[in-house]
Amino acid sequence: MADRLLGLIGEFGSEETLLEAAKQAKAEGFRCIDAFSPFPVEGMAEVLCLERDHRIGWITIIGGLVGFFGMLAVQLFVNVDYPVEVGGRPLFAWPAFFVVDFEIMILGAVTFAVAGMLIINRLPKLYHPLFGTPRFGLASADRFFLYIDASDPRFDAERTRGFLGSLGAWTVEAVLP
Amino acid sequence: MTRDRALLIGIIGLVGCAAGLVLAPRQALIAWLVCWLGWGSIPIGALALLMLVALIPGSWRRLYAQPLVLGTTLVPLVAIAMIPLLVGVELIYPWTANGATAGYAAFKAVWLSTGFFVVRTVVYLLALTLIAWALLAASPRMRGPIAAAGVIAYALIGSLIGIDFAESTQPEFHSSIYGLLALTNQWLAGISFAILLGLWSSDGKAPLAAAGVLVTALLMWGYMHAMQYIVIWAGDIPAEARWYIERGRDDWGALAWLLYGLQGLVTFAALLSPTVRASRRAMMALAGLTLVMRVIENAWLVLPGMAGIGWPVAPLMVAASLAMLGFGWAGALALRRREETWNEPEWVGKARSV
Repeated sequence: MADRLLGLIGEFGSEETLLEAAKQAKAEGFRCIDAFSPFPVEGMAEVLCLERDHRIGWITIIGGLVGFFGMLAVQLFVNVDYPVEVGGRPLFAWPAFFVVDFEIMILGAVTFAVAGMLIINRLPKLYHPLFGTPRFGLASADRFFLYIDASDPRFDAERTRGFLGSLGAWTVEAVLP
Repeated sequence: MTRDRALLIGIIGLVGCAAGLVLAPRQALIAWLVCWLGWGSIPIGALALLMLVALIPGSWRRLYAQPLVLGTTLVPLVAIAMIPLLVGVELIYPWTANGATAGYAAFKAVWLSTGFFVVRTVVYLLALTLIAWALLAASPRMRGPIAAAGVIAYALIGSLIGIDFAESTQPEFHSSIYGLLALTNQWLAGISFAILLGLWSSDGKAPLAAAGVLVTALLMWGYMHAMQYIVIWAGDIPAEARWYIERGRDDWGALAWLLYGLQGLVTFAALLSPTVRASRRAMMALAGLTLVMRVIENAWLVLPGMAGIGWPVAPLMVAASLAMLGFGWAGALALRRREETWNEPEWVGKARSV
C-alpha cells in the first residue's frame, strides 16, 4: 500500500441513504465529494452544488456561426475561382447560397454541441482510478456510491473511513491510482 | 383605462376614418383593410391558440388560457369591422372592375367575382364567430371535441383570409405559401397578445411557456417568409418576381428591413438569452413589438402593390388603429368573464366527476 491514496468511496444500498449521506458529508464540511448512481437522484444536484453550465449554449452558437460563414466562404471562393453563367444568375446568388449556408449552420451547431458536451465532460475517458475499486461497477446496476476526494481539506484517511461507515456505508474502499 | 376612455379613443379614430372616407375613400378603405389584417389577427389568432390550449394540456395553460379567452370573445368585433370593407369592396380590389376577370382562368374568374367574395367573407366570419361562441359557451367536457373540429375549420378559414383579403389585391401574384403566412401572422398576434396581457396581470418571473411558444411561432413565420422568397427567387417568373421587386425598392425596402430586422433577427436573438426569457418586462416588450409588427407586415404585404396610394394612408392607418384598439379595449372590458375554469388542473375536473 505504498501508493498514494486518492480518496475513499462508500457503498450505499438506496438513493435515499446516498442522498442523506451526501447531505451529512456536506454538513460535516466536506467539499470535494461526488456521487455515483445507476439513475439520476432527484435533489443530488443541489447537494453537490452543481451549477447550471451555460457554456454549451455558447459553443452551439459558435458552431452555427462557423458553419454558416464557413460555407458562405466556400461558396464565394468557388464562384470566384470557377465562375459559371447559369441563366443570367448573378455570380453571388445570395438567396441560393442561403439554403446551403442554413443547412451547414445546423450541422455546425449540432456537431459543436455534441463535441463540446463530450469535451466539457472530459469524455471519452478509457480509464479512471475509480474503476480500480472492485465494487464500483455496481454503480451501473443497483448500488449507490459516495466518493470523498483526498484533496479535501477535511480529509483524513482513518477518520473519513470511520465517517463513511457511520453514514451507513456497506463497504468503504480506498481509491488508488 | 376605463371603458369610457377606451370608447373615446375609438370614436376619435372613427371620426378620423370617416374624414378619410370623405376625402380619400380608396386610401381610407385600404388603410382599414391593412389594420383589419393586422389588429384583427389578435382575436382570430387568440381563437386558434385557445383551441390548441383546449386540446393540449400542460403548464402553458396557466399563462395563456385567460388572455386567450378574452381575445376570443372579441371575434365578433372582427366580423363587424369587416362590414366597411364589404361595402367598399369595389374601391379596394382590382378584380372587381368591369371585365377585369375576362382574362382569368375559369376557376379564378368565379373565385374572384364580387358576389362570391362577399358570400365567402360572410361565411368565414360567421364560422369563426360560431366556433368562438361554441368554445366559450361549452362545458369543459365539450371543449375538446369543439376545438378539434374548430382547428380544422380554422386552418382553412385562416389561410383563406390571407389569400382572399390580402393576396388578391394583386391577382396576378400567386404563392402557395401565402395562406401559411397568414396563419403564422395570426398565431404571432394571438401569442403576443396573450403574453402581453398574461404577464401584465401577473408578477415575478416570466414562465418559460411565454418564450417557448413565441419562439416556435417566430421560427415558423421566418421559415415561411424565407421559403416564399427562395422559391420565387429560384423560379424567377416575372409576375412573382415583380411582387418582391415592388416590395424591395425605395421606402418599402426600408420597411422590409425594419420588419425582418426587428421581428426576425432582433426578436429571435433576444429570445436566445435566458435572462430575457425569464424577464417579465423584456417578454412584454417583445410581445408588444410583435403586435405592432403585425400591422407593419400587412402594410408591407398589401400596400406596395396598390395603385393610387400616397402618404395619407399612414395617418389613416393611425386613425383606423385607434378605432380598432379603442373599441377592442372597450369590448374586452365589457365582455371579460369573471369566472373561468380553463386554468384548473386536470385532476380537479376528474375529482368532481367521481
